[in-house]
Amino acid sequence: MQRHDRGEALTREHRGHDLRGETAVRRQHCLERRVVERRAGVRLDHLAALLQLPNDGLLPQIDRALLAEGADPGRERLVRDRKCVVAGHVLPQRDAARPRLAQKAFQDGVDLGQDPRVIIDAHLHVDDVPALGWVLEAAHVVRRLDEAGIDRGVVMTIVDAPEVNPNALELVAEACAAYPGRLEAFARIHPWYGDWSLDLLDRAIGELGFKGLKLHPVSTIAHPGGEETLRLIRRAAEHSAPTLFHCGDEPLTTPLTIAHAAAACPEATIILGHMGGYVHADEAIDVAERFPNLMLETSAMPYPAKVSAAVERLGPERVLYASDGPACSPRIELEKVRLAGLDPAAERLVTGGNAERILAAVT
Amino acid sequence: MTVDSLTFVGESLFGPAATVDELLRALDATEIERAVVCPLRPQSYRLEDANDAVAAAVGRHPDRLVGFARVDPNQGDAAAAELARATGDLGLGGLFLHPWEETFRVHDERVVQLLDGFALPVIVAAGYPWLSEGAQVGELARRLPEVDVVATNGCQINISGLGQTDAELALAANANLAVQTTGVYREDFLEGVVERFGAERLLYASGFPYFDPRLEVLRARWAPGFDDRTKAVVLGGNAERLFHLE
Repeated sequence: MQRHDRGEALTREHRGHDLRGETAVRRQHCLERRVVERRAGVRLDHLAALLQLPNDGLLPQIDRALLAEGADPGRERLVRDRKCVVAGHVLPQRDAARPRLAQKAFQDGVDLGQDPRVIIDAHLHVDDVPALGWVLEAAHVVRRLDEAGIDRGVVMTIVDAPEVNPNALELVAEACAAYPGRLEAFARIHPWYGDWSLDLLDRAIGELGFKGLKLHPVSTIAHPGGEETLRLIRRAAEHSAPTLFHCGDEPLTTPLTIAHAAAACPEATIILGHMGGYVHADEAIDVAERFPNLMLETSAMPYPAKVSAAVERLGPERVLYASDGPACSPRIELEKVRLAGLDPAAERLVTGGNAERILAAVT
Repeated sequence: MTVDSLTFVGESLFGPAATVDELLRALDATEIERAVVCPLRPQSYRLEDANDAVAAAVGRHPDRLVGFARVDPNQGDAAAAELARATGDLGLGGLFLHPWEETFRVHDERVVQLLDGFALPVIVAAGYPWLSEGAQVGELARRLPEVDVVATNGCQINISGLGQTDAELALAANANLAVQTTGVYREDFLEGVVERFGAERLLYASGFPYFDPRLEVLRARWAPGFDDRTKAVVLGGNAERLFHLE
């Protein structure tokens, strides 16, 4: 289905099942409310089975909302959507300590049917770096996304703010503004500028609508476990925003090194970009098993089998598709995930569902 | 002709393993006609046995496989003797060197002496820190201008792209150096090699079984900037020429 067709389908669905009047869901579970608003549906005789899923009181609230909204008990499509909301979005987000639950829900027979699918590339670059001769324009990024059939992308600079580019945030913000609905932003910030660094992050997320923090210790030589770095990660977490680390084979970037940050900031979602690179992929999976606040991101790491190993050991809700494009091909990187041979439900989480959930949580 | 310019058979001391049948299935799955096949370092440490196994595989499938010898330059005269045996008696078509797994600097004097006057192509496992970085492979090519040197992994392994400039400098300085596509970080690096140095300097290689050919072949087939002629020479024409596959 083409992107516009999917959008129209969602719009139709949304109009038919407006849950925005349910205050309990609205006030206490803002993320879930958004998901439910978008994809809600239930058949009454399935409620009992669905309610057997472990929960913290959320499901009854959603169910009451759906019943109050008057969902049509005969609509099979709505049943599938309801299950998808529960298994693919709500549980992984709300229950990090029970990561296998969503996977089990899928394995127990959830049929996604023709459910709308969103593909998100969680790691792309825009920048203009004369010293390197690199000009990575937003139009180039979007062209690569289009070629690969990818709906949305997360862009960031190659250099850091405030040095070497004091206008790095504006550069990314302008790129996103040029392609509303297609591009989201992460702020790449050098940790060594004290309160200035924190202010930049607050401005990026609070004023410019950025969705995360990007750290590249090769360029900053700031240790992931250093206090300056931890302050930034914690500030991102206060916004419910993730921190994406470059995680490769170089000193300061290996999984065990970044694990210091994961241990010091358990409240933060930390993403290991490149999931360890060429020779540290197994180490990345090992470390992510120890720290539930870590997620793995697949870009440029060249082994499809490591993607499937990560999903098998961590659960599909903790692995994110990304390309590191446009220099790396989003199309080839997406095919790498498909070559991993994941089951369809897991693949949907990896290629878009997880990123959608993380981006929606940022406040 | 389509050619995968780097594959392996055997059981490696370090884990990877592939039978000849598995290699042929991988070639078929990626619609590649022929392959350069090299020995893995066996658990016995005896590269001679691995060379024999490669020669036997080529003997069974001469229409699909071209074998390369593997020696350890640390063994001095013994390495030279094995290289002569493998390329003479066994009829293997070139030499594969793995500085990381055998532990030697690729431009070490022992390597230069081993290859002095060598008439066949040499594939070097490149991009490994301290031992076969781009500048070091370039130095080997500079010291052996009559030898065709083919570097794996685009002559650089770094997921920040930090090795790419040295790889490009090595290519710029040494006309006898070409690079393979194996596992390369960034398709625009491959496009840059073609644009700056010519399509004849780049060869498709899967690195099977270290890498997955189903993914690796896409780096050449799906490269956004490659025209049909470039794809043809990268996917086979260059290997056909450099490795004398006619």
